[in-house]
Amino acid sequence: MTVTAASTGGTPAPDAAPGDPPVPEPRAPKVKPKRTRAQRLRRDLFLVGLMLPGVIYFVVFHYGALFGNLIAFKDYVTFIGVWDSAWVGIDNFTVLLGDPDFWNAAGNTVVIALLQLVFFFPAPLALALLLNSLVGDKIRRFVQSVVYLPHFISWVIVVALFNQVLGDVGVLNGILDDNGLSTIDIIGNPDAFKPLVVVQVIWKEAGWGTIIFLAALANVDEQLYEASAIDGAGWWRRLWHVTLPAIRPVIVLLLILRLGDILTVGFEQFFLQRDAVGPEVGEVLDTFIYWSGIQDGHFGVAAAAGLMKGVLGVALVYTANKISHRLGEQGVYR
Amino acid sequence: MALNRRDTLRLFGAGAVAITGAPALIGCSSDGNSGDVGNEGKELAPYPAYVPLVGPTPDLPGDDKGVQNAYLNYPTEIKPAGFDTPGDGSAVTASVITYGVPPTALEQNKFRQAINAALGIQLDLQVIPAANFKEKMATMMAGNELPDIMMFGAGEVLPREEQFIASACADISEHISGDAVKTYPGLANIPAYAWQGLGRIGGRLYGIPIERPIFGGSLMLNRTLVEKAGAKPDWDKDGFLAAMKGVTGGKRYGLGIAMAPSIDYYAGGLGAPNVWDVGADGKFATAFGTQQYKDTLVMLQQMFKDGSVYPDGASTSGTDMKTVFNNQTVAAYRDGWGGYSTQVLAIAKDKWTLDFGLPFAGGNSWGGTGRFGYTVFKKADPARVKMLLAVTNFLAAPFGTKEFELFNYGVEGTHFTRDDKGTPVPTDLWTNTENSTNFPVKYLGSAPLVLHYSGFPDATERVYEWEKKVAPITIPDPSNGIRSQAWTENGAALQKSLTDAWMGIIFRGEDISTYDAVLTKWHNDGGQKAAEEFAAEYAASK
Repeated sequence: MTVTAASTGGTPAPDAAPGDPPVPEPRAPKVKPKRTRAQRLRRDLFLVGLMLPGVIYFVVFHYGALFGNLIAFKDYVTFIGVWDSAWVGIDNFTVLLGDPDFWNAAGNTVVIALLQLVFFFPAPLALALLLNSLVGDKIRRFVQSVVYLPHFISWVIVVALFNQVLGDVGVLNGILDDNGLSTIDIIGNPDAFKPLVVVQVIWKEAGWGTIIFLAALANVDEQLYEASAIDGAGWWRRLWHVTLPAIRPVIVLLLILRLGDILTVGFEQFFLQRDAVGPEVGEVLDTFIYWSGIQDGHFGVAAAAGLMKGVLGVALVYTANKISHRLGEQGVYR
Repeated sequence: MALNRRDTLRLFGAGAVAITGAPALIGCSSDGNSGDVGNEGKELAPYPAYVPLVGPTPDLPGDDKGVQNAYLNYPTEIKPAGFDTPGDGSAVTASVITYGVPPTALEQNKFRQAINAALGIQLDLQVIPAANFKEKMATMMAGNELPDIMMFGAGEVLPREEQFIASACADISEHISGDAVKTYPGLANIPAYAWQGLGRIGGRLYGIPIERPIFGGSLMLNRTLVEKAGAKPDWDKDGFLAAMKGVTGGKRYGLGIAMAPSIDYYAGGLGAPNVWDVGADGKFATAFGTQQYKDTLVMLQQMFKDGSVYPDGASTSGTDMKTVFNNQTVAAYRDGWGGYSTQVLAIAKDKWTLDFGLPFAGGNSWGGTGRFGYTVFKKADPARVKMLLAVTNFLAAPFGTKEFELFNYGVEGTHFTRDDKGTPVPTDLWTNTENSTNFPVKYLGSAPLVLHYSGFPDATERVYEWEKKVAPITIPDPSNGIRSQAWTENGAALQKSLTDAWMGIIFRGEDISTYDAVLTKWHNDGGQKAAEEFAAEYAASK
């Protein structure tokens, strides 16, 4: 940001006659006097003022709320209060880490998170590319509106819909059965559970996820497409060499942000379905916290689990950001 | 962006220390907040005396084993209860569960106005939807503004419920213990089992039970389908299995088992003790580990394999199972005693006969808690507490009185009219908006229930016959009304671990041999401690 003072003067002019007044020696670049904090504040007062509402929001609702993590180190009882509840050191973490059910839930969460990352994360991108290639504004707007809709349906309904269609007495098996074919066991089948939940989340959220990608796609310079088309690039080449590079920063940004809460695979979706397949495959961290933390009032243990999830999320974001820098991307922050 | 690298690092570092440092610091625990809510070694306030009120003569009389007084038709003569107006005109706040929608404003709600007038208070009822009762109550308990009257229960056990009550609610022992309760004839009319089922906290009395009959879970039965299959519902185990198989065919199934099921009906039928098995030495062992209980699981697993159980049960909630039963897809399912209602009777009408299934011959029936819930009072000066007690007393005016009619049917002419037999017929105003579901004062105080399905005298008779047969073989849950800190703190997760295992065995064909490991874990995770605490409390309560 600091501007180096341009050096004035310099070597004597070649045509200078002897006796002329000497040309001054080149001076060291002039250092701008360092302003004090107060001076800088006075200068930027207006900008700081503009920022203030945002800062207050973050302090109160995000940083302030962080102090709630205190209860991870306390035997928190709601009606006694945070301050008067007894300190228990890291007991809550010990309890958590010593519980095989926690590790089972953590394992399921990681597997589902990875499946979501591989199959769900690219889905909105693919859908956005597809939508973007649609000609006809009316059709595109209509399709867009339709694919947004499932986002606004609650998980209770979505799960019920899947049960109605794929369940043992659902539509699909009804048709198979009526035609004398053997039925297939999807709902309630532990082996099919993980793919099923990923399919559900794609069905529900892929349309909504296209919004940011569509905005990014709208910003790609049309001329690049024209130029590459003239050079003989087909659809695939244009996608690979124009579209994807143009929206790569957005993809990377979203990917990194997704990593931050990757362990939050969703509560309702699993809460509604875990009983059908059993905790061995259906328990995730959020439902585990609900059963062992909230239901029995072990808020300390629940907070400990949440804190660990948060710390892991931060670590993942940090690492992914570093990697993106290595790859020459801007990432989330520098 | 809100993130800055240095802060990011710092956060991560702190977390890493917390995690990796964990094993080194084991042992610096404290038992901090475990308040003493037990009754062992305490001086016990006697339970309120039982002074039954004489109401209209029942068509079918109840007995002291737990059979209710039954009324085939609504009493023709409705008298005032004769209780004084309890209130002093002051404002009273109360929190209560609701299965309806929020009530309309006082100015336009004639039901609320009539109740205020009858009670002599300005009642501000905070209705809490059943769906988030637990969360809302936890928030309320954590806050500083407690209502004057609070309803607990309704099947939900809140974390450290007794501890909260002992620390924040009024000890009402001196007002209702023993003969003192006679000042409140409505409360003295509540039978002993309901008080005992509610129990004491630290030897003292805090709550007023909202009484329910002694019966617990039972089998809801589509008698028409079962009889069509050639079976008789006074069955033993084999008769039951044959009946369920006989009903099954096409898109119809014998039995519906919902997710996270209670299987108490079947286990009781095979002779399993109710929740806890109390040994001759006074030791508690979980009934869920008995051979009878394992046999039950194996039986249901076999039924599921044979196809006589609704195949989607594992992903069907208890509420949805009611629908599956009501549309005759299944001929039977287990539900609470309250599942037998005029709503279901109205659906069945003349198409099929709703009945309760009898326990298998030679088996028993698991009793319930004897209450819907209970009310407690915010700490206040004795005069105020007495006034609030008088309010609940007034709300406990028995069946056959003007007051009962007001709380359950509304104002005559506005909320109901009478048919030629004198039976109240609800108006649209009652059916749609102003009713005891949307403004449930009946959960703040209630007289013991009588058996009366308005407009269905034959259904009343059937349930009465069932109660006659089942009451003598109903066994109580020995842990009802006694306290265990370990159970309060771990009960939900412990119970969940068992339900998960039952689901695996019944629906996913897991071998019964895997169940022992589940039970061992259950013992180690707090089940054993709870058993010991219950045993000590049980002995002390005798």
